Amino acid sequence: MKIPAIKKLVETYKLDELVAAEAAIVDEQPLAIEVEGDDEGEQLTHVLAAVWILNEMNDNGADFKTALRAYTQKVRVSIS
Amino acid sequence: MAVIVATDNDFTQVLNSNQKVVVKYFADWCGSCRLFSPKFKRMSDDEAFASIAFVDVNAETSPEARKLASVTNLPFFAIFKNGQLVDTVAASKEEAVRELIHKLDA
Repeated sequence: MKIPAIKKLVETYKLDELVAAEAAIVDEQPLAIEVEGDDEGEQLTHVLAAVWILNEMNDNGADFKTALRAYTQKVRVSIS
Repeated sequence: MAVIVATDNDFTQVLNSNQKVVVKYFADWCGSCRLFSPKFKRMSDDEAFASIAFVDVNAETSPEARKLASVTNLPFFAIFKNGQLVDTVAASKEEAVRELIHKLDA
């Protein structure tokens, strides 16, 4: 997982574009947007992160840094 | 056989009621985990693995089950025999997981 790739998605695309990209990766379809990642799994992780962060910003009024911190905390909890 | 979904509440019970178990640890934020789901389901239906229980555990919400296998990355796979941890692997490739599962036959 690469934080710059997630930041780029959050700053460049709208939620519906990201949700469409999520579905495209799962369905093994071509992507309409550019998503960085070494493989489909990492690409999907980046898209899921961007969707989560955008929702956090929209629902709770958080800025990007705060939402990103909450996201990375989720990730750390899962593997610590 | 269907994949069993376990949590901290019933993980030990699942391990103790099945002689051979393979656990896939995942999280909702993990893209590779999501993409591995159909492969795990397909393996659970494979007759070669008929004697093995396939179990899904959300690593984010099941810390006790996660710590039993010392999960360090996701997706993460662990095999248990008679309730005891045998081996683990962090991998996204089906071949690596099949190799791990075959260690249950040793």
